[in-house]
Amino acid sequence: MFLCLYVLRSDSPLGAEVWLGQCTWLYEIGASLAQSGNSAKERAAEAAALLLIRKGNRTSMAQQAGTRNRPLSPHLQIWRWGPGMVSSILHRATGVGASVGILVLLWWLGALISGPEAYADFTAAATHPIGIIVLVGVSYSVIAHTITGIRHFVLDTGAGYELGQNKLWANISTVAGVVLTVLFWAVLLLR
Amino acid sequence: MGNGTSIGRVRGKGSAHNGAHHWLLFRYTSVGSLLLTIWFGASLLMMPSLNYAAVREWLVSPIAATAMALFIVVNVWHAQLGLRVVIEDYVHEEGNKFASLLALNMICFAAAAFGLFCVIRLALGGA
Repeated sequence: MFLCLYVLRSDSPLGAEVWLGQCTWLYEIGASLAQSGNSAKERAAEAAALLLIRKGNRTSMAQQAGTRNRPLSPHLQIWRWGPGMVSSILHRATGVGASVGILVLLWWLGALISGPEAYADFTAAATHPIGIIVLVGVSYSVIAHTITGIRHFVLDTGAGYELGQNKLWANISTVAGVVLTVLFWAVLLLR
Repeated sequence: MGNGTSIGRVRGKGSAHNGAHHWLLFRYTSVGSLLLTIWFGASLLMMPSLNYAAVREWLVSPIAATAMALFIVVNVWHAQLGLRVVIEDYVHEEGNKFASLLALNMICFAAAAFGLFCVIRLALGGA
């Protein structure tokens, strides 16, 4: 049975759709084997005959398949959310957020060389409610991106892929980003 | 291309054979960014005040100016590498992709040049 599986799979030039079709054939072959009460030799011959028939069908399907749409990999809405997915998506989102932070940094430096009035303008914008939201967002992005980035570094070495470990550190990195941001602002405002 | 032969439909869609360079640069710049981000965050927290005079006084010192220059370069570089991947992932139309990457590169060069100019201007006086 496993040999049949291997044969069907290894020489298949097609995508998942046809592979699923093959599973059905295998099921048919298996069912017919179960029903026939013949000797092992006869059953093997029957299975081989069935396989040959299927192979013939598949060749014609292969010719059609090239012109059909290939199966697409599933996207966000298909997957059940898990810790690794959250951490990974946050890494990208906070990376974009941190890039916005570069623009804030440049504004800050530009104000610094443009004189006290320009710096006062920057301070006014930074302490405006919208400015505070942007600064909190940028600081969170930088800190969270750094933490999830360290996680990616560890994963790059090939470590941390065991299910339990992976989930644990994904959750830790996600939570650590928020905690460290709160700590940063606490120290900044309370010093 | 079109609906021609099987090989014709897939030609040009394979590996560009230079992804490893991008991947390594991404990691190298991330290490630099990690160290300098810790320096920057610690500096912000250790400064007595974030007012005009205090921040200027901090940034005119040679070590802070050097670190800030590196901070700007490594982060702009890392951001360019990262945003490039984001654009390549979500902008599929060839013309739009080319225009987006062109704009990204120009903004990154401009950002790095402006940031370095600010640091040099502060460190060498003037203004």
